[in-house]
Amino acid sequence: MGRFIVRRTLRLAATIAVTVVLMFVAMHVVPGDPALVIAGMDAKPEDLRRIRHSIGSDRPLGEQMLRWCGDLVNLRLGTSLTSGEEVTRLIVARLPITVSLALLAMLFSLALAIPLGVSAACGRKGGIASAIATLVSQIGMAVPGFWLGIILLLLFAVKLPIFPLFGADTALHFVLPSMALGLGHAAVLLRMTRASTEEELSRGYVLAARSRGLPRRRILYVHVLRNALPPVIALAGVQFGGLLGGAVVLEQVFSLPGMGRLTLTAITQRDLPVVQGCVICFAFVFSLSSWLADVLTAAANPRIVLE
Amino acid sequence: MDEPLLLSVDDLVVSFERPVVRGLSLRLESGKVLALVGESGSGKTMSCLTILGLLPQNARHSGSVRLSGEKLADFSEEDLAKRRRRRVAMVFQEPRAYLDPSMKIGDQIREILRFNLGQSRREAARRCPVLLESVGLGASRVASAYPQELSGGMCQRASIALAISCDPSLLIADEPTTALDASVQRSILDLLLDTVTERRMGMIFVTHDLRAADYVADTVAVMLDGLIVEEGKSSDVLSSPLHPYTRLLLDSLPDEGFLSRKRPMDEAPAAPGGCPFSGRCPLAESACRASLPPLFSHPRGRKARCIKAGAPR
Amino acid sequence: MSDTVVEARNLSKVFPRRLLSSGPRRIVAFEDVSIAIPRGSVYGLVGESGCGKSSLARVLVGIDRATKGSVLLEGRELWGLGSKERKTAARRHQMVYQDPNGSLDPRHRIGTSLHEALIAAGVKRAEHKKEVARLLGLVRLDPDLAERRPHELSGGQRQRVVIARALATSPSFMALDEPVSSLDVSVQASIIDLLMNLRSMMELTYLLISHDLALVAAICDRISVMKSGSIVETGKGRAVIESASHEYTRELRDRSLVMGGNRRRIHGTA
Repeated sequence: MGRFIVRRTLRLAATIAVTVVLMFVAMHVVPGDPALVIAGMDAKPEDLRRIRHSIGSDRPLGEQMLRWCGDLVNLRLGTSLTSGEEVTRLIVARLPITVSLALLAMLFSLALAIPLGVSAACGRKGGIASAIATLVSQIGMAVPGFWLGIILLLLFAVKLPIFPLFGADTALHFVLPSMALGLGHAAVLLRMTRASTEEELSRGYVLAARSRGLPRRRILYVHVLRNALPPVIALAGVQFGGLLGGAVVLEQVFSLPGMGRLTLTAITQRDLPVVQGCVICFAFVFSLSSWLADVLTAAANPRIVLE
Repeated sequence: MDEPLLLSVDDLVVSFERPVVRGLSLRLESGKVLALVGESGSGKTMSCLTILGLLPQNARHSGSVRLSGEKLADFSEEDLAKRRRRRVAMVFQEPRAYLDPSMKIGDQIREILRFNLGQSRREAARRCPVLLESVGLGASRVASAYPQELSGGMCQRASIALAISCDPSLLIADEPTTALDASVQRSILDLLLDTVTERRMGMIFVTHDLRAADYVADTVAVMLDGLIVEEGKSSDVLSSPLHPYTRLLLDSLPDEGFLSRKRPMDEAPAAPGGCPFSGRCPLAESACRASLPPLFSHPRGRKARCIKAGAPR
Repeated sequence: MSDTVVEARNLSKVFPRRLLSSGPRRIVAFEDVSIAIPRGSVYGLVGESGCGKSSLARVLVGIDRATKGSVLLEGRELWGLGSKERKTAARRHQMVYQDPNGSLDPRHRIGTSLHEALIAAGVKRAEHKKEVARLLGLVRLDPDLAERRPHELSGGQRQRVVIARALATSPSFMALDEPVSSLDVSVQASIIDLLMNLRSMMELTYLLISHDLALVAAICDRISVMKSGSIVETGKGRAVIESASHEYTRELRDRSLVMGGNRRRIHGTA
């Protein structure tokens, strides 16, 4: 297991390194002078020189990259061009909200998908569990998250004032947004859970376990799920990136002060340091969540480690 | 005789869209081994699953199966599970496919001991190595290994350990050595025979290889297309078969005379409603294709479903 | 034409250990193997699973490359040829694997799989339909089966198709890797019968790889016994098994089942 973690961690480090380099290359390959973009078309040459010096774009490329890496390691992400605040501070204030939203949405989608998927796989072909699962799956895939968010707001915050309309102060503020965000992903996880469970149920060891008189419940929970769930967990880990992206949109709908709003605003305002900081942050969180999903999957099913 | 037969099956019929078992009757006493010989599609596996009450949901069946006098059809799923725990166990064909790949061997054994025999963790932990030792897996690393870390032969021994852990009176072995190397087969057969002898169990040994049947069985029943076509003591059936299909199975064995023996070259489909072997039988005539022969009785307790198999009683 | 169709001289296939992986220092598929397969013979390679016989066969047919030693096809060093020549030479040497499902593309009809083989064999498209029917006829299958998919066929029929496909290039040598192990016993016999028939009809030479000592002893002219990557004994057919000079051969022989000789009785009842 230890070797497995080392290998996965190396992979994580490599992913992040490549992302960092790619980001740098992308920023500097794109034609156009960032100083011009920042200052505007009719900026005076001294102003442009000053801006270039302040963002360091007048130094040679290699030096810029090294400085960039050094800054990242020290979490020095620069300062916002619009507000003057440190980017790191801005992100630290917002990141927890976005990550919480994504995590809650993940929990919601797993809590919905796994029981439904397993029941559908265990039940009869045309039975009720199967029908509900198919329905949820179709709705989740067809309905966009933001639309669902608006509908949920209308129904449960306006018509029936159960949940609050905006802000991120209490846990209640997160209920509707995580449901709206999670349903789409739940649909995909549901199909995967169902297919994976059906496949495991048809395997020989299930028949063998039944032949030994083991109780059906035990066979299901201990044997079948241990083999059926790892691909589902792995998929959930990969989906986390999508959840982060979806969170960006839903933060607009539910007026949550998270990374999404920060990023979108910075993009429209061309606040380059903030944009860079946000993208790096997303890349890191996403890679880390993949790593965590891999490690959890391996811990749950040691067979993966042997491969 | 007061004690009921260990197993008696009467006129078992199993169908999916079409019948796969067309009227099977068997008898087995404690301490005896019956070889159920047949190739793919003969219905032998379905017959075994019926005895365990493990037919898939879309199967229909009729006829009676009695285990030590008790009729299986009378049982609920729970009662059936109880009987599976203590009375009858099965060993399957491909060892690795029938073991949970995500669980260590030792854990799987201890699980059975705890759930089926109600043993405590401590008792189960004590019994586990004893059980492994009895199937030749005494090495300590086996208990902490996963199925894919072990060879096919070792996995099959583990499966046997799991099967006998609760002291069943009937063991059904469905082609237990077919998926294993020829060099390992004999030791597994020896293990099965030793186990069955020591514990006074009855065994149904399913195979398509007459050499294995010869090695282990007291009686042999040959199945073809859902029916028994020959039955009798193994020494009789395998030395002088009455049915041409049994003869073909013998002639197909790779031994010294293999290349010089004549075998049918092609397979024509058997005539529906007639003898299931009529497509390939060198002795087939129009009467064979017209109607299904009954199981004729022959001397020494033998039976054969063939109108050309010597003078029937 | 040389008398030896395929020859291996000091052939080895050894892999060094991979970085960061747990395992033995080096992995040996086979080491220092030398065999010579006479034209028209059935050469048997027998041993337990994992002894390296399949790896060796793949190298002899030209699918894989050895790490040391040489392979000679019709007296010519295989890897000494230019790639085009090597491909042409390799076409005359085919391999038949154990059937299950892996050998035939489940999405393709039988006819399509055979078409592909004919294209690889360089047969003109106009001739294909006729050739497919001829190949199916060679393996005694109804030409109508060309329209079916593999899952509609029995195990024995599928194996016949795999043989037909190997015959598409008019090979002179075929390596048969466990060609009948997964089949029922009467089907096994019919496939072996077919193969022996084809051998005399088309002047083929066979390398039969199997874990079944009895099968190899029954039909092979020459046999090599393999253990853990090395050849322990080689000799003439059945005699090798019966005289069994090497202790491993003896072990294999003692472990195999034979009719009538060794009945076990329970309770001494007859």
